[in-house]
Amino acid sequence: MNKIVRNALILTAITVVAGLLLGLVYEATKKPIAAVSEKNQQNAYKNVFEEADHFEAYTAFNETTAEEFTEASDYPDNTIVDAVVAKDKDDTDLGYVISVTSHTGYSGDLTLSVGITLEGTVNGYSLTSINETAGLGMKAEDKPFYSQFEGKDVDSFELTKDKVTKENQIQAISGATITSRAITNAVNLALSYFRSING
Amino acid sequence: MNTDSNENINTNTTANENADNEVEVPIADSVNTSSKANTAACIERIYNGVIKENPIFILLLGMCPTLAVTTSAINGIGMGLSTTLVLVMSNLLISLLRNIIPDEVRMPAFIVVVASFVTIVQFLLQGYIPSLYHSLGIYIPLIVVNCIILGRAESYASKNPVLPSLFDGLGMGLGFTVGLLAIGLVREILGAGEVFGFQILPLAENGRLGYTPITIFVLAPGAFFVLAVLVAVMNVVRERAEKKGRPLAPAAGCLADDCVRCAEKNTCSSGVVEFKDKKE
Amino acid sequence: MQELLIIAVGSAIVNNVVLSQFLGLCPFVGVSKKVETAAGMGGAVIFVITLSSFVTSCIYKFILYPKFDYLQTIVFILVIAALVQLVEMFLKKSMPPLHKSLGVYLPLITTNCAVLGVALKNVQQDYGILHGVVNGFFTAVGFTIAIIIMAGLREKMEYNNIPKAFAGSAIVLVTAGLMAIAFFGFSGVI
Repeated sequence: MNKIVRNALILTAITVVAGLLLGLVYEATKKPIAAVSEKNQQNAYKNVFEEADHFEAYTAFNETTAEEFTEASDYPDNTIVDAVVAKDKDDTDLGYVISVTSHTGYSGDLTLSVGITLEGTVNGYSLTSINETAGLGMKAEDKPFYSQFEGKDVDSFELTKDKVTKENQIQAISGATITSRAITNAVNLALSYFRSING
Repeated sequence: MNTDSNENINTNTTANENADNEVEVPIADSVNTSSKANTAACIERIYNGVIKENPIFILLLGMCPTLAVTTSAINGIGMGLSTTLVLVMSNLLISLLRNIIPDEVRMPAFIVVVASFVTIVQFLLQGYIPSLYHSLGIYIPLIVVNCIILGRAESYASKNPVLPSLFDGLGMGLGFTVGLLAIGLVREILGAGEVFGFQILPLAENGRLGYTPITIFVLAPGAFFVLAVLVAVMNVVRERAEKKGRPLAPAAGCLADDCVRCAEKNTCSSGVVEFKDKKE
Repeated sequence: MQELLIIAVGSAIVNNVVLSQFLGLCPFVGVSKKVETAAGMGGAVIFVITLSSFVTSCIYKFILYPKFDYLQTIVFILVIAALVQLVEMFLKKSMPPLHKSLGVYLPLITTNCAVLGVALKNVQQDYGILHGVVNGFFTAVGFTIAIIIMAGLREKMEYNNIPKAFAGSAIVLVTAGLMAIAFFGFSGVI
């Protein structure tokens, strides 16, 4: 009996020490991790809005209304995470960057930021979190696919598996229709949200 | 990672058999504290891990991460080095604590130590190498159940002094890294015509002659095929080595044996069983 | 409801735990010689994974989140290890017939990465308790489907003339690769 108590105590001690140590490391790495994700986010904004000098939080952004908007839209399986205003050096508005998380990726969620100018032209998207199949879904990060969205001023994008015939059509990544559709829908949601806030 | 406990066990038995001739050398050395002999023992540990008992090629251990993350060479190295770091740290700590940890609760204690280091490595990757963190994803925390780590803790670190244990972890980790790198290279070249992300085989496009990537090799089925060929090649090598009278260390993973049988052996998870039974 | 259905089909077939995520590969290769034992293993895995998804989801939701979520790996692995032992003891005492059919496989499951993998995935995907349990149950069903098919194939394969170097686990891996290709066919389902 005594031995069991001793063993249990030693094990508990090891676990407690390990837990405390982890807590310390967690605190110590919290800052770099936050910095990395912040930098990542800023890079994504910059990628989709090269002309912009800095980005400011869109003050009227509100998670509840954004959620209601998403529910009512044609693309309910997404979440609008954030919206920022892209500004130039003189603080003039250039457009918006809207970040959307899609819940319909092939292997889990994917998050992207879409840059849209005040005129409604899509500058492009930048993925901040993606975990799709290498060689298939991951091609969403490659130029042939993402460049299809760039510089287009359309009502909404439409995914096709055939040859692209219209301005708003996007050719799906071969073998990765699910990922392609998730991204197209996320961009579409960002576009319609942009319209709702830009009147 | 597809550790069924049996992998650990089998390692244990193999390493224990070897223990008689290998392990006692460093112990004797540490008594003499002859630094030269110590160095020799440490080098021997590294040689053992990388060549003689290479966890991937010879022991066929830890196949789960081997298949899952080797879609490219760089991912293979990343996974290998993360595992090495965990192995070295856990071997070091377990060796330090080997006289404190009671035998009956050694398995849960090892698991706690290993899981802590894995979480630490996870934070470090997340903070400092975010791209690797994202491409390895869920397989980082799954390093915990990689049988190599618990296997080394059980069969080597818990019985040997600190320095050789540290080098044992380093050797095994490097051997694992080399294996992952090799498999990653094969899959990347065949599947994408690239090495470390650089196109080395010009692709066929726009009517130009060139290489058409066999995409299947970066996908799940390709992983199985590459591993199948690896196992087949090792079967041949093993047979030749036996004919020459210099047999290789026996394979220890589940690829070598039937899982059912190891349930009856004194597996590492039954170590936990004993502990729980007594406690309750 | 639709969401649950998608999780179910997705985790059982489309993202099959063995064939596309390589989790639980060890029992998949080791215990797939006969359909009977494969089914036994499958049953044990379904039981353990469903239970552990429930327990780990609860622990995460009520204890770890949001303050201590960095402890998830260490807590999950310990909880799973303890849970398997408790289940084994419980079955031994109160349901000897079930223990007889599943008992051999239970110790094998403790360090099976599929169990920890599912627990971590539930957290990663932000699944609640219900979604987590559904995900766990169907992931395990996917494992069972894969291992039973594999066992069926291996029973037939025993009478085949396999090149010597490929005899044993190598040919099993080739078969697994072909099965993985076949399962790609399901990827259009969701």
